[in-house]
Amino acid sequence: MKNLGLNIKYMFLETVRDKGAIFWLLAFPILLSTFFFLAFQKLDAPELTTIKVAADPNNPYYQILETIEVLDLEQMDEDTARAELDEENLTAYIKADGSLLIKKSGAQVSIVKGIMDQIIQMQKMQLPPERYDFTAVYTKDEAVNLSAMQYFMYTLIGMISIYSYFTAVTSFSTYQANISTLGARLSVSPLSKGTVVLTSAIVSLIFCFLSNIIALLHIQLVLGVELVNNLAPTILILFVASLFGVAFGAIISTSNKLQMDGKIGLGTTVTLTLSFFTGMMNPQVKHFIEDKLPLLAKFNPVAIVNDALVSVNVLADTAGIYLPLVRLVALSLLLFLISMIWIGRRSYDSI
Amino acid sequence: MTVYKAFLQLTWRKKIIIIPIVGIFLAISIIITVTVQEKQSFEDVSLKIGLVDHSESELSRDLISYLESGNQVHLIDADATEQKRGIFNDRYDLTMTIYENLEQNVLSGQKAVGMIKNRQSAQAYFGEMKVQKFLLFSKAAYENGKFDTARVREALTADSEIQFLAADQAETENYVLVYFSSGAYIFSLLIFLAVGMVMADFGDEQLQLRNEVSGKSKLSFQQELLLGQITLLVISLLPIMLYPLVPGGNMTRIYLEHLGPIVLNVALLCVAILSIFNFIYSLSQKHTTISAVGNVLSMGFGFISGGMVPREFLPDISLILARFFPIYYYININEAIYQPDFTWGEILPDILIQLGFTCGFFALNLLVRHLKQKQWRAVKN
Amino acid sequence: MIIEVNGLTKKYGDLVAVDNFDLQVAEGEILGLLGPNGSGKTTVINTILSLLRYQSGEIKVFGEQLDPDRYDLKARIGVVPQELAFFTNLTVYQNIDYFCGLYINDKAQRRQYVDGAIQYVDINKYRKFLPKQLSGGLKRRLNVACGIAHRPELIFLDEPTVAVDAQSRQFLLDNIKNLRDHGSTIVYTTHYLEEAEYLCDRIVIMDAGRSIASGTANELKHGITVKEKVTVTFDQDYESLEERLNALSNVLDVHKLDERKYLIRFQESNSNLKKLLDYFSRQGINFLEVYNELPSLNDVFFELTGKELRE
Repeated sequence: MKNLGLNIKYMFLETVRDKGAIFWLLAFPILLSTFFFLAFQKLDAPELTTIKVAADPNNPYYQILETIEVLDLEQMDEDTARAELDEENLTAYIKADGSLLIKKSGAQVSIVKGIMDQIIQMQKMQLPPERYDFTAVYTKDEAVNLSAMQYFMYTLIGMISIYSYFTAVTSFSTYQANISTLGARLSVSPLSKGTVVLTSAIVSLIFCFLSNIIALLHIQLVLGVELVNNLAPTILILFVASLFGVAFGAIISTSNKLQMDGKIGLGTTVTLTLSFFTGMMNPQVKHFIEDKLPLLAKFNPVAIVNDALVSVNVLADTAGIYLPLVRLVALSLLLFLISMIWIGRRSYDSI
Repeated sequence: MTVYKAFLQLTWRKKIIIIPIVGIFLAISIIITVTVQEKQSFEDVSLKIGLVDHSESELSRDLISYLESGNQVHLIDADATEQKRGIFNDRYDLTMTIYENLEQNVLSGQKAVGMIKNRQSAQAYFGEMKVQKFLLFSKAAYENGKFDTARVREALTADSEIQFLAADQAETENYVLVYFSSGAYIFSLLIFLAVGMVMADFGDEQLQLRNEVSGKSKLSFQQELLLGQITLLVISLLPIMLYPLVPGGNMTRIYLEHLGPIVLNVALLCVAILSIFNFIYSLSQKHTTISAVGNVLSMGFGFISGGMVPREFLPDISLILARFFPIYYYININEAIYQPDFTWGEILPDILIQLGFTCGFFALNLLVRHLKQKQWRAVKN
Repeated sequence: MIIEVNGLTKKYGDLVAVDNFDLQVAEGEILGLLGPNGSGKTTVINTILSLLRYQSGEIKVFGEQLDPDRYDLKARIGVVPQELAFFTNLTVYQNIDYFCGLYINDKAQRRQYVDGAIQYVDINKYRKFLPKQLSGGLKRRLNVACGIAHRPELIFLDEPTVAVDAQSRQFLLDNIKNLRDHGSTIVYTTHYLEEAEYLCDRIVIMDAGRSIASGTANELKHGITVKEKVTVTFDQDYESLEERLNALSNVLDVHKLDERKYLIRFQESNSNLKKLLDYFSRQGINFLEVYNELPSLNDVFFELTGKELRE
């Protein structure tokens, strides 16, 4: 480990002065989270208060409907109701025969339909009204306050942490003789494998970790999306996530003979796929993978980071994160080990 | 055609990395459509319910069977934290835990089913309503020491009729629309990755120098390069364009019915993004920078243009910003194509804007190259 | 011997890049590897440095095999690659300090060595400059400084003067001689004849991966048939002039370079010019210009391969 400090100092300087690295460090998380913020601002459905419905006052169901709290009932004839439905000022119009007139389906229409179904079904039960115990409430509710914005932001942080592989790819590739002349020059120096791996890993880790912290700060403080409720474990998760990002970059850099463009393309594709499997474009995909390919879901680093952040900050479950994080650390160490075997300090068929 | 041939040769050399990328992107496109199909193939609101049955009684089985009609009920064995996680991850709209002594509790009017739900959701309210009704009916029909499940089941089959305001306004499922909407991001990123990878070799200084001294004009060099890029794109996009022919049924039928406008729309998007790519490439040949910019633009604009999130959920500011990138107009056209009253005239402005993007960035690209060459000559002299 | 290479063969697929190549480099000499582009010079160096795998042969550096993890041997070597190879975002000083630091642990000693290298290639004014702020010639000097700052025993310089202006080139060449004078052994590749002739104690001429001749510049030149060349420009066309010149004693061959300009090559260097002038006088042949040259390394290369070394 000759001159590890000197190596780290200069590799850090080289990276910090590189505009491309700064883009990934600062601009990438900030821009992407801002885009996400814009896209998901209205995704949280408004809280259900009441549903606007209308019926003719002579409707035989009118009086029953008036007693139902969730309905905001208005008196209206059918022609007026048609116009209001078209303007989307009404959810449903209840006709005298108990049928519903609607413009489009949706959860609110289903609720109204459910109420009307119940009225019809009670008639079909053919039981006297006193048999029904309307005072009993059989369900015990626990409401949690969850937002889609938070969901996507946690996924984004998971993705950013893996995207930071980029710094590591650049850093590890610097030392490879088949990538650049500089790599060849360093390969013929007495620089040991251990110094190469440690230097690249430490410098990249600092960058990756900073990138994650910046993303988090930007989302929490600038965009105002509440993500951190439990700081210490969150920092731990981000650190482990960065560690994996670096290990992933190391393996992308050392595992193949591709040039830098190919390595970046490969890394981007893998990261995109892992993020996609975590439900970044569509949450259903995450469940699809969890059901059909449980092992992949268990070891998908983006999913692990996402789940851990949710556990700690939304579900107040800190104990549950350690096993997945240990899994991620183990995976990272394994990737480092393989990289160490593969990286430089070897002869090539061609450079 | 030297430049064109050189581009194709480079493409061939990069096939080992381009083919898997295309393959993965195709798989992503297919999975998106598959999951969307699962989600939208019910007429009524279909709830995703996570259910823990501690009772395992006849009544609980009846309740589950009632809930299963029209909803997706997942019988699970999860604690409250995991249930909440499921709700947060949108795996479930709500979760239910049927208590061990369900029957006794129903008869005595006590709490019988625990629920965890997102307080914002109408779906959760709907689910709660269903459980409440079932248990209300069950208790009412309790006679001679047992629940008259047959009566309850029979009664629950009755339902009210639904009439749509206009017959043709019933929502039609269109997987082709979803496939191509989410495809916007895929197409865009694919251009940046695949074309970027081949172009990385064109950035070689020696090559540029040779181009500089060769007799080939800037314009014809650019034209041949563009032709090469388009050839690469056509080959890369072909699997994604051919896939909708595979499943048959509605998807293939709708695709074939609208094939002309769909292909034109994809082509317009691709050349516009290609033009933007070439402009960015004229500013920086660093593949790392191009890749980063490509990721941000494709993903960012894919989201805020309505490629992944329906436009009704997007705030106005997103849609205003989205107008600065071709994906917005691509989505405009994609949403218009399947309308029954679709006319070419209606998408003409969008087509013109896409062409505007293409020509505008092509001109900017030439301008930057011209300025750079001037600067280069000045340095050399 | 500092370097011994015996029977080295390196192939890229079916292409034989280096073919049964032998090389011996003695301590304290500048050994020139001379050959056209693509003749295998860089491949030989990369193979010696264990960057490239090879099919057969034996390579010894400092009497031992240089495996990729022989850091002790690598520590005694300096390399100046053909292409510029340094960090683009570190200053001139930081770059040299970094490369020197790979070999020298002691801070004070390193500072002294780095300053020495900076003086050596005369880039003191630019210590705080980033490489992109330097001219092509200065970048080359930095490239050299990074390879020699740690004062290695053995230095490989792979075409260090390519694309360098005349002033910087002469500066670099003089300094390389200096390095040898301070005790370093140098392996120098080039396709410039003048450089090889000016700089190298011994030259190995390479073509198509093979060593086709070796020796000092003089030995090489003496080893070929041509011993002297005379170029004459005549005032008019003379009847069957070429045949008449060819018939003269010692003349190897005659080449018509221009309408009235001829190159006459002699086998022996024995008062050829005087004899020729006497002949012209006797025959009433008038000339506008005449000059003689001794054979160059290009003639050596031409005679050995049938092609010019100059591009």
